[in-house]
Amino acid sequence: MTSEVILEAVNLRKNFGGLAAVDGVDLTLRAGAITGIIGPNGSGKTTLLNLLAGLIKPDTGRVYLQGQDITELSAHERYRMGLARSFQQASLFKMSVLDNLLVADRASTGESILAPFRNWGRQEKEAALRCLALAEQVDLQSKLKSPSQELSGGQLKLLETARAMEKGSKVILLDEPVAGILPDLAHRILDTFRKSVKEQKLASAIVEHRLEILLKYCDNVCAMDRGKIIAQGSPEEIRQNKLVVESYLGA
Amino acid sequence: MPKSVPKPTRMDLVTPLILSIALGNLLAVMAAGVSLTYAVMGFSNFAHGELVTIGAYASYLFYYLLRQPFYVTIVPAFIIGALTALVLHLIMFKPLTKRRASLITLLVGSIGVSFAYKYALYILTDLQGVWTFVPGGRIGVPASGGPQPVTIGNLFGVPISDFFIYSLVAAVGMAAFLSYYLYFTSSGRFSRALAENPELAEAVGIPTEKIRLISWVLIGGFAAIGGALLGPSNIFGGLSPETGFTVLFYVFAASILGGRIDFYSTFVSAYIVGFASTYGIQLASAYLGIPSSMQPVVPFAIMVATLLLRPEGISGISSLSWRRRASSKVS
Amino acid sequence: MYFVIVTAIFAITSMSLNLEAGVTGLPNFGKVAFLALGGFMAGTVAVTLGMLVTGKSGPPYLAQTTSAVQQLAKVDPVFDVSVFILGMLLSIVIGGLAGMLASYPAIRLREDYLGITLLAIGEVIRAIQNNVPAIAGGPFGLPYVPGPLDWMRGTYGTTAYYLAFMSLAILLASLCFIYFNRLLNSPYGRVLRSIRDNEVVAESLGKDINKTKIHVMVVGSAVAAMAGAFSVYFVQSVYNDSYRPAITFVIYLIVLLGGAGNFKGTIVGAVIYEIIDVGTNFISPAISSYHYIPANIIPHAKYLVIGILILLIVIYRPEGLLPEERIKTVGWDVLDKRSHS
Repeated sequence: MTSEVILEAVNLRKNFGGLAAVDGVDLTLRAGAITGIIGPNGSGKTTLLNLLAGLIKPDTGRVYLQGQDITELSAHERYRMGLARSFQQASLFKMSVLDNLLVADRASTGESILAPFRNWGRQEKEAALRCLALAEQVDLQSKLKSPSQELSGGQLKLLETARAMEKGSKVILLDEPVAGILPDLAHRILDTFRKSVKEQKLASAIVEHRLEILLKYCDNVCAMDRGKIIAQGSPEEIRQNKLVVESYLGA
Repeated sequence: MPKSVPKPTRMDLVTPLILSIALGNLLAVMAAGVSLTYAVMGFSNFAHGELVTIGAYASYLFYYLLRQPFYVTIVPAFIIGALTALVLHLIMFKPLTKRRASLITLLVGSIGVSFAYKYALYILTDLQGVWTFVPGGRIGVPASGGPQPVTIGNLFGVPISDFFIYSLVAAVGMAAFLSYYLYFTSSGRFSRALAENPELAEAVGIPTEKIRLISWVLIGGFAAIGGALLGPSNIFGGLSPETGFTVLFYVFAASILGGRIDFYSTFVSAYIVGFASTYGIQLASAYLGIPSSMQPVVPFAIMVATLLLRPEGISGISSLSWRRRASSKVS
Repeated sequence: MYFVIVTAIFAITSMSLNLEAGVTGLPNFGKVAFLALGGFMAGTVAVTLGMLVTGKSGPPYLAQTTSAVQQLAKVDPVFDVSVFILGMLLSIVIGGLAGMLASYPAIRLREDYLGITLLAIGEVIRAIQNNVPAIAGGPFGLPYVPGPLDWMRGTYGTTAYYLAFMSLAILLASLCFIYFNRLLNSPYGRVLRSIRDNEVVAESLGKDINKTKIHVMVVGSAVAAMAGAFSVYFVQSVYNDSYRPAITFVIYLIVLLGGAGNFKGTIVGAVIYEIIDVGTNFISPAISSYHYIPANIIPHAKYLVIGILILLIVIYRPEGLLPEERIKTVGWDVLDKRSHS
């Protein structure tokens, strides 16, 4: 039984000054499945995520979210519709951990220049409770009041991933969520993530380098090289795929 | 409705043209420094105007003290400008860039510096009324306080002063020197690498701090030469501590129009700004009815128009630049 | 009392800059231009209305035209107050409109170029006004502008006048402070700071960057214009030269000194600046009595101190006297009731 298609990209192309960063990519993300995206440096993985998230516009191609064409929509509109993206480098704001989570909350009514005249207290309290739950999922609830600058690299990455799972996220794109993290912690993060994806029937894609992570956590894998997808399939198939092995060795 | 313009005499056509070129020469010398600052340090230096002023005053001071001709006084002026720039860098910009301060912080810091220099100079010239050590009047130095331009010839009926020739020589000489420096010396090539990618330059072992120090010497020195030429040329009416700030926006306009990092475009832009500010405003007042008292607006208008309409300015008109453009092959 | 009023005006203007630059990260180097717009509008409205009512015509910058207005203002409270209210409202409107225009570069340009562009636009505005006598008297300015409390002077005396004006100033400043502070400590404050810290990430978390910047510029500019109008009604004259770009950097100093991102700090900064300002005026006669030191030195010394202060703050204490505080919303309290550890 195939599950619902949440995010679909058709024939995405993006050129940067004569160089094809993404060269005709088709991608389908289904509910409850984690898709891994691998490839050597410069193969276009991050550009692909940026295209999906709406931070850059493709030269050609379309992106559909639950059947709706979102290609013309900007990144902030896509987020409101449920598309969340995490970043490779720590991208937390200089505020408390709680504020960092709250700012990603989709339900806030106080986000207006007229905020002092509106009653956003109740929404705020509900959001705070949701953020508390999110923080508990990654065991960071004790750090909620700390400024984000005090967190370690691993904790920041945890937070980044947790933030992508805010209420309302339907598609979660993670860009190297466990890069530079010790294996123990990495597995904890990804276990939690996988559990949420399965339980809430989210669609997800993870950009990742390390094969062993992909094998353990991904339902299927796309391998990229020079802007194109050179192979797709189950993790085991990809591991044995000659083209993939070559592109990694040749890189 | 354009007013009917009397048939321009030869002199009407030529004088503003000479003036445009003279202004362009000066701006070229000063804008190169602003672009070099941007290339090597990464920010726009509002204190550049003060470097110009200091060079101007230094030149006047040495003329007053030593009575040497201009081309001699220019040397101590250069040295003072270079030293000032170095001190600026060491106490201000180096610690800030080390701390990875934001662009705006550097900008605001440079504004603070320019205030401090300018008003210190004001106080100095205020005091000179009693303790005469800076030549000139209480508020500023009239053009007669320093080296005097001497008419040496005629071009199409317009008298040409020796300062015009000096400024021409300075502009062309600077262009030639910088071309040589950037492409044929190792420190010049390192500067270009630094402009392109500071982190990479550090990583491959380029002595970035040394390059920056050398660059500041050039920046301060050229600004000082520009200043030394500025006073006698009387283009901005004598010399006062305010001169630096007045000139700054013309220089920024040239640098921005030139695309900041493209050396030759900046050079050409200096002349465009010079032309627009002198000839251009005259044409506008004759044919478009724009009052010529709007002249100070010209550099601002150029800056705004460039940044909003074509942020890279006129750069790319030549293949030689501080940085290769992203689309060309990696060198 | 003069001290309080001027401090209040500086405080209001600086708070508007703090919102734009300190909290949202939009360096408005053209801030003085919005003060100018407010001032020009206020002066023009007041004098034009005065001339209409008194039936005078003629250039508003000539004393003979405005003397009749002056007489009217002295006796008619209704005229004074309505002119004031109308002028303030129209200044706010023009400030807001200008802010909307200014947000166009704010959306497109990087921070340092944005600063330069806004500075340049400000200078263009000032140059235009300086050449068009129809706008607030052009290069001649408006030597007399009727104020809201002129009618008080005759009947109640100067002290009462200043007390009333001071109360008005404090009221305005307090309202602004309450609004800005509440705005900062709200979900919107989080949005603004996230834009300042990392625009791209903020956008990817659902914040409409462009719309927010427009709103911030409109409000910041409207408030600055209001401050400009208020100050014109206080000094009762308008002169182009009062709006030189250096003023923007005095405002910047106040914001930096007090603490960018902290509105309480801005008030502190305004007070400190005004102390320096008034202080230098105090010692001026004492110093110039020494024959060795010319009188001109005092204003120059003041700006020298300002430049050095900016330097010192930027190098040694960029966060200012009162550093930025955490955003205080009810969300925090919820944690206290439910936290486990």
